Amino acid sequence: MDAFEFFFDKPWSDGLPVVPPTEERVSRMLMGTSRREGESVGVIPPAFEEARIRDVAIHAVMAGCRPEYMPVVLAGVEAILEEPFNINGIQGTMHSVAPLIILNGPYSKEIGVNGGLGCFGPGFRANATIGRAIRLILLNLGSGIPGVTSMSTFSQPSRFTFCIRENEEESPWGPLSEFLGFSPNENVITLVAVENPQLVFDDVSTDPNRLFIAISDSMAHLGSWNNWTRSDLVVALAPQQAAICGRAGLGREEVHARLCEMAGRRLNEMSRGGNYRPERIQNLPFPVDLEDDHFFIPTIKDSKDLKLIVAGGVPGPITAVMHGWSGGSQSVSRAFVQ
Amino acid sequence: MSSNFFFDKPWSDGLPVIPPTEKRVVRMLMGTSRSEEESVGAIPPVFEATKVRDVAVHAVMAGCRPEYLPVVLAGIEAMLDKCFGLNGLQGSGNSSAPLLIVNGFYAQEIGLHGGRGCFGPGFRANATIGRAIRLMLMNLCGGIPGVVSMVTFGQPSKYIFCVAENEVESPWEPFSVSRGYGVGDNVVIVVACENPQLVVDNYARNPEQLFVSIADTMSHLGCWNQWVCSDLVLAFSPQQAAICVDLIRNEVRHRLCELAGRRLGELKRAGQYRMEWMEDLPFEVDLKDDNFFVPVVKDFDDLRINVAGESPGPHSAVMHGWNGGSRAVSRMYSV
Repeated sequence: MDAFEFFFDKPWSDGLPVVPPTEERVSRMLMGTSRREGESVGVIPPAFEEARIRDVAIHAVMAGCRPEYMPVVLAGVEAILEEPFNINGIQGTMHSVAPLIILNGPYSKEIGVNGGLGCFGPGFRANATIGRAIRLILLNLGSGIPGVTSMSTFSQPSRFTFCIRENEEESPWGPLSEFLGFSPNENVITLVAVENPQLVFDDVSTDPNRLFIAISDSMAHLGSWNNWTRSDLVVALAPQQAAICGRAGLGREEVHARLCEMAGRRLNEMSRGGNYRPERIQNLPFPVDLEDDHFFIPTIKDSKDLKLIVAGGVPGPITAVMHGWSGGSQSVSRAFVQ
Repeated sequence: MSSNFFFDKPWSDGLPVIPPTEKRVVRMLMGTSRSEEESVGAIPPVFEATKVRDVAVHAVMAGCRPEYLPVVLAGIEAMLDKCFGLNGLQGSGNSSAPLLIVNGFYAQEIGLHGGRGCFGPGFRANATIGRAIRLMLMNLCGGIPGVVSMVTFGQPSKYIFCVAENEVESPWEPFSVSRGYGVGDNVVIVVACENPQLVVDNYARNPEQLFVSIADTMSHLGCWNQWVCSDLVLAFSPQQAAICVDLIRNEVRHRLCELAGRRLGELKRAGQYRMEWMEDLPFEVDLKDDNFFVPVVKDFDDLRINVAGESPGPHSAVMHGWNGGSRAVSRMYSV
């Protein structure tokens, strides 16, 4: 039997061909880490199959990784398993969110993870296969298979693969990892459960305050969960848009604060229909005057929930907004060793 | 070694491909009665002449079964229709990708999925048909980031973007029938659009309630649809479509076209606003009236509603269009 067909038939695949994990390939993959192959990384919900270093290596082979990607895949699996991330909920939800991997530090650059032109799309082996290795582990060891344990209505294309680097070189600011308290040259992985990137196009604005209008408007549409509950949200500014802020003398902290202030809706817009329930509004981490129709409810309920990064290539007058999930997933960041 | 060879060329989307050996290509060609030498067209912007055999080679690489080949052929041929504007799309800085929506019995027969999780991983037909198209756009026509594609971000649906309609759970006639095709005809529709963006609503009990957050999401200020005539795809889950069961599809479209939009004063504040764009719209806009309502769907025909996903699931998915340089194309195909 064709080895490729074997994996489709099991099915041990995301619907795409996998590289058959022969002993020789797995041994070579394990050379990408100094950790012992028998060491346990944890159990993957909801099936709770154990993932040892060797199992991670097998899936990295299947996904198409090079051995030098192993430390990132391992860091990704460990981050996903941190309790605040709530991967168990993400695996089962009717929503479509997927874990987005954002990498900072020298190692991801060295192995060729792309944070520039086209970073969310095809054409970059490190991005494509690291993201896919995580997905194959969620499918094969966690059983997050549609109709088996995953109840995702639509799912989303970023559930195939969703892994980028921050474009640190073309950013006017220090890296996200530094903002989160890591030292500037540390290798850091951040996992956030979000929707697909949604574009905000703006090739007219030269002033940040004007630029922020369409971005904050897109952050605040009524379809997302962020309006109703505390949830993460990622905003990726392309370097050209970040430069508008940089030239105006705005630091990362100021842009972050400004977007948290501007994105939101009046109570009377929110209560017109859709997902509105008074009790959802009453449960927010700040008081809302339900009698005041003009009360402004920020989309970002806690400023820690916004992850602001610089990504994509030049030129490009574009920002990408990625909304979060309802189910109490909190992003996780951790340093990793190569 | 063979997988690495394709990575190194590079003749890959970044993921492993199946080496297209002669034996595999011959087997793939059994999926069509067309001659392997027949030309399918030239794919822009490099304009490599593409034959049925080339399509089969890429279908093998993507992981397709032979029976998927008619859909891959139909997809690429639809994209080569001039109206689709593939040349512009390949080079664009925007991230839009061709979404393939397939109607008819053949899609069901080969397992093309329109139900639970249809936009994501786990379904070979969806994954490999969508990927075969992408590999051709990259390998035969240079649609590679930094080569001819100037795409700022790219988007995950540029790997794969192919679904069937959930005709079984839909309260309406198939999408293709609403476009004038016969019941049971095998039809592909290609639309250049952004990633699906969810509208969650587990509370609405009637269409008017439901349409509030859908219309709002359709009309955020970041999308191109605000400024130009462009396609917009809306996928209802069966649960949300069932809320609209007393309306025919066109009534839903009409109502959403009425509801989705912004006041001129709001548009003027937004980054991308240009007065000349408002003047170019296919209807008159009173530029002095800041309360003038500008619908986000400029032409009724631009809004394409289909049913996808599975019950339960209180979701809709909005897919915004590109900058107007592309028009959706549909065509019937034979198997």
